[in-house]
Amino acid sequence: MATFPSKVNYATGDILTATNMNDVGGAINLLDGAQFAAGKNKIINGDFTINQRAFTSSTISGTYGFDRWKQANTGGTVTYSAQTFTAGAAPVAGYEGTNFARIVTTGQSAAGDLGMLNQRIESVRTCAGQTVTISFWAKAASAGQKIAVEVSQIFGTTGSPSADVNTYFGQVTLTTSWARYSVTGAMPSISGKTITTSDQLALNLWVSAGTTFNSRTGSLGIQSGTFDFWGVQMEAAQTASNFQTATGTLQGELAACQRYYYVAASGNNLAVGTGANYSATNAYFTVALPVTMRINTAALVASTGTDYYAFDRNGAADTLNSLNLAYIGPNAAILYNNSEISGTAGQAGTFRTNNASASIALNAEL
Amino acid sequence: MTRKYIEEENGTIWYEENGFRVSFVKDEANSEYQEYLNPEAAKAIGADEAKTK
Repeated sequence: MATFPSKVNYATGDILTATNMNDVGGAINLLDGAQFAAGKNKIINGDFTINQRAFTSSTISGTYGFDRWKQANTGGTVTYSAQTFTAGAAPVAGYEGTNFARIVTTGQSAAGDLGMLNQRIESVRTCAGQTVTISFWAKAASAGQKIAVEVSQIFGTTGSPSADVNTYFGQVTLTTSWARYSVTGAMPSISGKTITTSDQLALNLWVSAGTTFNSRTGSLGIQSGTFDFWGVQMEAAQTASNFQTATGTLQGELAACQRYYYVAASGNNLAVGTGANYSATNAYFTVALPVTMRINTAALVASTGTDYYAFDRNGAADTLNSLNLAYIGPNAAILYNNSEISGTAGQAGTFRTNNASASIALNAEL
Repeated sequence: MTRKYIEEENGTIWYEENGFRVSFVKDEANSEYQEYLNPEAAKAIGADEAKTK
């Protein structure tokens, strides 16, 4: 196929031939194909496939469930849960989604009550000054219930950043069947803003909002109901393009999630890494990081319990109950235990989990 | 519930909650360290999501 335009300089009276028109058609088809492009979707895990935390349900505000997705609430009871599609029942033909997110709200009434599904997007520079379209599939248990879409530009969490800029994108009204909705708006410029550490965007999908939040939600109001979400996409575009995940591949999406949260092991008898006795009562263990995390100071989140972990060295297992973070860098974390360890300085061995409830994760979420 | 933070000699800080020990180093980019510095803000995490600074 020839490139388009067919001529460098058109003149009055020029006529496009059939070949020219075929070139135009080919160029348009290429543009349509370009709707699939890595990085187009600024939302990570928009199809809720990645669930490193093995999340099932939570009512606690600020709790992460599916990777990158957390809920926020005040007042009443807001339950965020993981749901599974029946095979063949996913809302997009040809894209067999595995999971979807559900938010259920009850018992809210106060002006300051709220419920939302939320994702923090690294860097407030994302889509700044551009036209942005946010799209998602959703349904409700009761027809007529609404979702309000807002993006907050957060210029940092340390020092003295500029004040948050909250942009209301609009509301959508749901039915009881899966349908795709989109809202389009202008993301404000960040010109003149002061940006500090951990600047970010917050995509807020409001399902309930007291009058305190009228200006941010188009007066959404308090809603009691069941709201389901899948296929969330945020792109710099005038209209919603075909949905794809941020990376377009399963392994890419997992890696993108692991930039923020990495589960090194969860379960019994899982290899973690190697270790050595630094002294008789202190041992260090190395955990390799599969991707460089958002910050080189991720927090260690490790379950605690009797003999949850085992250090196999010198022909026997030395079991321990808890772990602390000693050092962390771009490629590895070094953990230690100085409460149960009993060995000989210099002894080396392998380190593993020793209980079904044992888990080791590193957290660099925004 | 107020978290009880322990600071180790090597500078690591940790607390235990819901069967997990969370440990971290001192870095303001780390949200756990921010909560350690400002525990009142951590309590209001719902409001944090909806904050209007």
